Amino acid sequence: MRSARRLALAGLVAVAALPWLVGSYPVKLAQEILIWGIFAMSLDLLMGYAGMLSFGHSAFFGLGGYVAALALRGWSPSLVSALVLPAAAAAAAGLVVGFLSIRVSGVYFIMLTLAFSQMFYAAAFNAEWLGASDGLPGVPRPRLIGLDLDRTEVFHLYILAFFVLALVALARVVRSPFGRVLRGVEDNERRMVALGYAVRRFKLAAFVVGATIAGVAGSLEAQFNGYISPEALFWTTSGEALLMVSIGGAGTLAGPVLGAAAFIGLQSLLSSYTEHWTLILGAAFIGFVLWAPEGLLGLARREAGG
Amino acid sequence: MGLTRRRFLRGVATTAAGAVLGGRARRARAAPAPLKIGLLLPYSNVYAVLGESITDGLSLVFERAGWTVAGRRVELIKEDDEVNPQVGLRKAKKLIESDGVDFLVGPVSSGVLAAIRDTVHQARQILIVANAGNDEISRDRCSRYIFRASFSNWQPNAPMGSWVAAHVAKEAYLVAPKYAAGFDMMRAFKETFVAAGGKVVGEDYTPFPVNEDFAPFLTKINQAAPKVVYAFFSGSQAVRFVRQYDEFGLRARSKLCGAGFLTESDVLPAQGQSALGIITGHFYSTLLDNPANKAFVRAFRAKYARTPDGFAVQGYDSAQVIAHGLTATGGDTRDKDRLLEALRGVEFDSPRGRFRFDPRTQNVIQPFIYVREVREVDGELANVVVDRIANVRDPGTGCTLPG
Repeated sequence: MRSARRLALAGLVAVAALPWLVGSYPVKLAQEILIWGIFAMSLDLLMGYAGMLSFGHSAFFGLGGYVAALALRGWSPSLVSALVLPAAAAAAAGLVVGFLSIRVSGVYFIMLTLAFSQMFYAAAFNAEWLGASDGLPGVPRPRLIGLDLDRTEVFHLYILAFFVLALVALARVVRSPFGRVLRGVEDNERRMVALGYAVRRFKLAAFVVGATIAGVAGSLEAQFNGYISPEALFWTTSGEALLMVSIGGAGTLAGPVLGAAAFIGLQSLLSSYTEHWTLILGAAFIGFVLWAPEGLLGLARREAGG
Repeated sequence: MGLTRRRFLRGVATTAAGAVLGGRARRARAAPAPLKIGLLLPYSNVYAVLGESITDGLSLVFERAGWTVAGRRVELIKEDDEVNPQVGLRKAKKLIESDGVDFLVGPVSSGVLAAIRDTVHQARQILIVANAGNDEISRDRCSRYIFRASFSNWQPNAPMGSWVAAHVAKEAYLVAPKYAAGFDMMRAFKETFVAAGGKVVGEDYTPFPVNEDFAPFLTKINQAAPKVVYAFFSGSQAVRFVRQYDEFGLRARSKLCGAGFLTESDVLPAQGQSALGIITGHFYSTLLDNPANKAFVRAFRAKYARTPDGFAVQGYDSAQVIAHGLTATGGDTRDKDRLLEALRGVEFDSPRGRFRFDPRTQNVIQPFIYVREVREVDGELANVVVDRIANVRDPGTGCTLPG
C-alpha cells in the first residue's frame, strides 16, 4: 500500500513536470486524459462501488460544460462560474435524474439513464440560443488572482489540482462507512435492505456525488477546448467513459484514469494511421472483458503480486 | 608562435563545423522542406462521402502538378474528425502542434469548424475551409488566418429569396432540419424573400440527424397549400424528403425549391423522377459551360470514374488557393504576413467561374449563384442552369478584418 502511494506520488510529480519536458501537443493530450480521468472516476463511483451501470453520465458532463460556458462567457470569468455553478447544476440534475432512475435496476436503470441523457442532448441540439448543433464557442478561461490560465503550464497545473482534488475526495468517499455501505449494496442489495439500510438514499447520494464531479469535469473540458457542443451530452460520451472504466478496472478509481489514458492515447495515435481504430479498440475491450475483467490496474496488480 | 595544440584543435573544429553547416545549407537549397497540408475531414461516419469527394478534388490539382508546388514537395496528412467537434479539435491540435502543417484544410461539419476556430486563430494557423458554411465565420467570428473556399450558408439562399419572390410566387412554406445550418439557411432566404414582398406562411424544423418520416410535416404543408415550399436537406435526408414529397402528391400543387444540396449529384440518382422540376440555388452545376469546368469534369471522371459534385469543386479550389498563394510567395511559408497577403489576392479560373476572396471576410465571392432546375438530359437527371445571379458576397456583418 505504501509503495503504491509512493508510485502514485511519483506519477503525479512526473505529470506535473510534463509542460517543461515535452512538446505542447503531448501536454494537451495529458490534460485531456486528466479531465476524462476525472469523468471516468466519477462514473466508477456509480459502476464499481454502488453497482449502478449508468448510461447517462454524459448528461452531467455536458450540463457542467454548458453551464460553465454560459457563465464564463456571459457573467463573469471567475471560479464561481468555472466550478461552483457547474457543480451545483450537475448536482441538482443528478438529484432529479437519480431520484427517478434508482427506482429501477438492471437493464431498466440503463435505459432510463440513457433516455434522460438523450433528452438533455436533444434539448441542447435544438436550442438556437445554445448554438444548436454548433455549440457554444469562445469560452474564456477563468481569471484567478495572479494566474494566467491561458499559459499552457499554468492551466496544466490548474487541471492537475482539480484532478488531485477529485481523486482524494472520491478515495475518501469510498473508504468511508458510506462507501462500505455502497460496496455492500453492490454485493447484495437485498441483504443491505434486510440489515436496515436505507439503500435508496445511499444510492441517490452516490449518484449525486458522481454527477457533481462529472459536472466539474465537463466544466474543465469546456475551459480546455474553449468550446462546448451537444456531443458532450450524447450517449457516446457516456459510452466512452464506460469503456475507460472497464478497460482500466471498475471499482479501483485509479484504474479508470489508466483507462482514459489508454483510450485517448489509442484514439489519438492509432487514428492517424487507420479509420478503423475503433476495431482495434473493440478487440482490446473484448479481450479485457474475457481475460482480464479486473482491467489494466487489476492486471498490473496481478503481475506485482506474482 | 608555431602551431600550438589548442590553435590546431580550434582550426580543425572550425573547418569541420563549416563543412557540416555548409553542407546542410547546400542540401537545404537543393531540397526545401516539404509543404505539409493537414486534411481535417470526416473519413468515417455519415459525412465520409463528402470527405472523400473533397480529398479527391484536392488531390487532382496536386497530382497534375506532380505533387510539387513552387519547388516544394506536397505532403498530405489526413486526419479523421469523425464529424465530432471534440475529436476534430484534438486532431486540429495534433496537426498544428505535432505535425507543424503549413496549411490546414477542412472541415465538413460546421460544428467542427466552430470548435476549432479559436485554436486556429490563436495558433496563427492558416486554415482553408473546404465545406463548413457557418455564417459566423464570415461575420463576428472571422479571422485573418481563415479563408473559406466553399460557401457561407447565406450565399446560395439569400439570392434565392429574391429570385423565388420574383419568378415563382410570393407565398412560401419553409422546411429544414433542426440544426445550425438549417437555421442559417432559412434565415438567409427569409431575409430577402420578405424584403421582396414575399410572405412566409409556415416554417418547420425537422429532427436531425435522424429522421425517417416526413409525413407529419408534409401533412401540415398539404393543409397550408402554399405556392412554394423552400427546403434545405442534404444526403440521405434529401433523398427521403424529395421522394416523400412526391408520394404525398405535393409536387403538382406546391413548387419545390431549395438550397443546392437538395438535388446535388450525390443524391439525384436515388431521388429519380421525384426530383424533376425542383429548383435550387447553388454555386456550381456539373453542366456549367466553361473551359475550367470542362477540364475539371473530364479529369475527375477519368481518374475516379464518377461525376464530380460541388464538394469535389470545393476541394479542387482549396488546393488551387494553396497553389496560387504559394507560387506568389515563391514557395515561402515562413513569412506569414506575406503569405496571408498572397492568399487574399489569389484569383484563378475555377469550375464555378472566376474565383477570388472577399477581402473584407476572406470568404469566397461566388462568381455566380446558379438557379438550376432538375431536368432529364440525355436520359440522365441533371441540374440545368436556368438563371444566375452574379458576384454573391456574404454581408460579413460584424467582421472587422481590414479590407
